Amino acid sequence: MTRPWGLLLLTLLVASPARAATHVIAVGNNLGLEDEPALRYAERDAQDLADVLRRLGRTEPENATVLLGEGPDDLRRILLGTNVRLRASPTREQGDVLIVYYSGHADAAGLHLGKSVLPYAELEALVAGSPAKVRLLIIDSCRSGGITQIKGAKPSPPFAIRLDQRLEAEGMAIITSSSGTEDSQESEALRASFFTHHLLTGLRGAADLDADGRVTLNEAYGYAYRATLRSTGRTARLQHPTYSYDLKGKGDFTLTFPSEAGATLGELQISAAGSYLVLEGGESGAAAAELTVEGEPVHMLLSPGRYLVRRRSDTSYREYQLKLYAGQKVELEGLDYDEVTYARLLRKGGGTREVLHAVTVTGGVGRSPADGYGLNALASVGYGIDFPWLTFGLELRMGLSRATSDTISGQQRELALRLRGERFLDLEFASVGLGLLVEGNYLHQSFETAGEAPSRNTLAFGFGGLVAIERPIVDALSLRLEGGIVTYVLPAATVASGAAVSSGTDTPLTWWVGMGGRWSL
Amino acid sequence: MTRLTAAILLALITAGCGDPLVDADYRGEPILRLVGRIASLRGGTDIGADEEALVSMFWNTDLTATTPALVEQRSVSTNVEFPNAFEVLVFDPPAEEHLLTSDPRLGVGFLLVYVDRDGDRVYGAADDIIGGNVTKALVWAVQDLDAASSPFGTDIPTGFSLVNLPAAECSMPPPDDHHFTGDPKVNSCTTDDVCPPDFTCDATYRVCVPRDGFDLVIGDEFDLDRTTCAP
Repeated sequence: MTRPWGLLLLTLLVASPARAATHVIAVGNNLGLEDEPALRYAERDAQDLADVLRRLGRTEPENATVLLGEGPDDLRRILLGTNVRLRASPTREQGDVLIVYYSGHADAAGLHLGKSVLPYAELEALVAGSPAKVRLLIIDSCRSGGITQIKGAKPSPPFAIRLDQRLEAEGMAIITSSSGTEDSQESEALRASFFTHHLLTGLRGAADLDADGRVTLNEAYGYAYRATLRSTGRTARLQHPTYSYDLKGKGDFTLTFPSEAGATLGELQISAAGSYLVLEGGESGAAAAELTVEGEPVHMLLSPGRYLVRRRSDTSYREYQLKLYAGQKVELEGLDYDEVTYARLLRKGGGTREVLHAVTVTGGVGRSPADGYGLNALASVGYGIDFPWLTFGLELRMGLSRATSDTISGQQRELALRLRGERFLDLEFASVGLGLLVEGNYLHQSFETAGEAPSRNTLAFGFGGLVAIERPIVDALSLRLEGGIVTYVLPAATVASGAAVSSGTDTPLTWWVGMGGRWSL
Repeated sequence: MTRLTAAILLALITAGCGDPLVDADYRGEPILRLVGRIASLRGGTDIGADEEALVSMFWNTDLTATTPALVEQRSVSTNVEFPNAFEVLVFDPPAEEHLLTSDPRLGVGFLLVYVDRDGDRVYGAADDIIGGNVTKALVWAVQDLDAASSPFGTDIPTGFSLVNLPAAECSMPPPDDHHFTGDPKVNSCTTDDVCPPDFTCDATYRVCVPRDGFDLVIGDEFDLDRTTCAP
C-alpha cells in the first residue's frame, strides 16, 4: 500500500466514531421451585434470543452471554461483570445498550432460578444501575407483569412514539410477557413460549412496519403484544404483555437491523392478508414463525433452508413449499401451492376448527327388500358432523319401486332414517370412507287391481356397511359417490299361487348406489 | 338398562311390526277358491314329455253357439299331477270380455284343463282343451237376475254362484237392453241354506261351492259341447 492511501485509510479509521456496543445476557431456566412443573422451551428461548441479537442486533459474540439452568448467584455475577465492562467500554458515550432477557418460572415477587428466587427489586436495581445508556429488561414468565406494577405501570397495548429526529434514547424499559396475574404459556406447536416466539419473529423483520430495515423497541413490542394476544386467545387463557417505559429524550431505539443481514440469511415476503405458520423443513418441522399479515407486507429473515408455509382460514389452508437461499428474497404469492379444504383440513389438523358440519343430498338406485320389485329409486338428504377421527351422519331417505303384471300392479314406498359412521382416508385424488350404518324403515305397499289387494304398512330395521368417495369440486361443495349393502329385518309373507298364505320374519339382503353432493357449512 | 340397550331392543321390536311384506308374485286377496281332484287320464289324450297340462277358468261368451266361444281368465293355475288335488284361486271377477255378448250382466265359466303346447302358460290356438268339469258352471252376475232373465231358469244372485248341470236345460232369454255396470263383487251366501243341493257355502269366500269339490275329467269322457245351451 502506498503511503498516501495508507494515510487516508488511517484518517478514516480515526475519524469514524466507534459504534455503540450491545451487551446481551440471556437467561433460561426450565426448572423452578419444587412444586413447579418443568418447562420445555425456556432455555431454548434464551438461546434463540441471543442468536437473533447476535445475527441482527449488532451484538458481538463476546458481548452475548447465555445462562442456562443457572442460579441467582450466577446471574448476579454475570450482571456485575457486564456492568464493569460497560463502565470501561470505549463506546460508552455512543450509547451502549444492555439487554437482559429471562425465560422461566417466576411469580409476582421475583424470578425462580431453580429452587432459588431472585427478587424483582434486586434484578431491577442491577439492570437500572448499569452504566449502559439504554437498559432493556425482558421477562417471559408467569405473572411477570408484577415487576411493572411496582412502578405503577399497567398492562397496556403499545402507543406510537413519533420522533422528529432519531436521537439516541437513554433510560430503561421493561417488557414482560404477561400481566401480574396471568400465566405465560408455552406452545407445543411452536416449540417455544408464545411471547418469545412472536418477539423473535418480529425482530427478524415481521415487526418492521415502516419497512425501513430496522425493528425498533416499540415496533417489536407492538408486534409481540398483538401476536401473543391473538395466539393465546385460541387457548382460552389470554395473555397480555406489559411495557414499562422510562426512556428519556426522544427515544425509540433500534433492536435489530434486518437490512444488515447481508448474505447470511434469506428474506421471505408475505403480502396477502391472513394467518400464516412457517415450518422448518416440512409438516413435522419446528415452527419458525407464526404471524398475521393485516395491511402492509411483512418481510422476515430466515436461515437458509426448506420451509413449509401454511396460510390458514376456518375452512381451508394453502401450503407453500419453498427453499430459501442466503441473500435470496422470495415473495410467497408468486409460488405454487396446494389447497386443503374443509373435512380434509379437519382430519389433517392445522385448521382452526375441531368439528365440521355438512349437508348432503344424494340420489340413487337399489334393490328393493321385496323380491320381484324393480329397482328402488332413492333420494336422501342428510346432515353430517365431521370429527378428526370419524364422520357421523343422519339422513332421511325416500324410496320408490314397482312391480307390474297382467292382473295387478304394486307400488312400494319407503321412508327411512339412517345413522351412519364413516372413517375417511384422504388420498391425493379424493377421500375414501368406509363405514357402518343402522336404520329404521317404514314401508308402504299399495296395489291397483280389479280384485282385492289391501295396502300394507310395515316397520323394518336395517343394518349394513357402506363405501363413500368424496372429492372437492368448488369451495365448500364436494361430489359424493356412495354404495353399500343393507340387511333388513322385517315381517314378510309367503306367497304361493299368488296369495299370501303365511307370514314370518325375513332378512333380505339389499344393495344401493348413489351420487350427490356434500356442502360443508 | 342403558339408553343404547333400550334403543337396540326398540329397533328389534319394531322390526317385527306391521303387515307382512309381499313380493311381486302377490296377486291380491283371492275372492274365490275352487278345489277338486284330477281324474286319471283316460285315452285319447296326447301330452308331450315337455308339455304341461294346466287348469284354468274359461268363460263361454255365447251360450247359443254350437262351438263354445271360450275366453280364458288369467287366474292362477296349478300344474296337474295325476291324481292329485288341485286348487284354483280367483283374484278378480271376470272382465267385460268374459261376459255373455248377448247379456253383459252375466258370465258363465267352466274349469277346464288344456295342454300348454307352446309353453307360454296362456291358452291359445296352439293349445288343446283336453278335459275339465262341465257339470258345474261358475256364474258371475253383476246384479240380481230373476229366473226370467237367467239362462238356467233360476234366480241368480249378484256375485259368484254355481249352477249344477248348466247345459241340461239352459236357454238364452231374448236380448234386452243389457249393460255392464261393473259393480263390485258381492258374495252370494252366508249360510248353506241359500246354496243349491250338494253345495255348501264357503265361509271364507261366501260362495256356494260343491260339497265334494270339483272333479276334472280328462280324455274321452269329456265333452266340451256341454258348455253351451245349443242342442
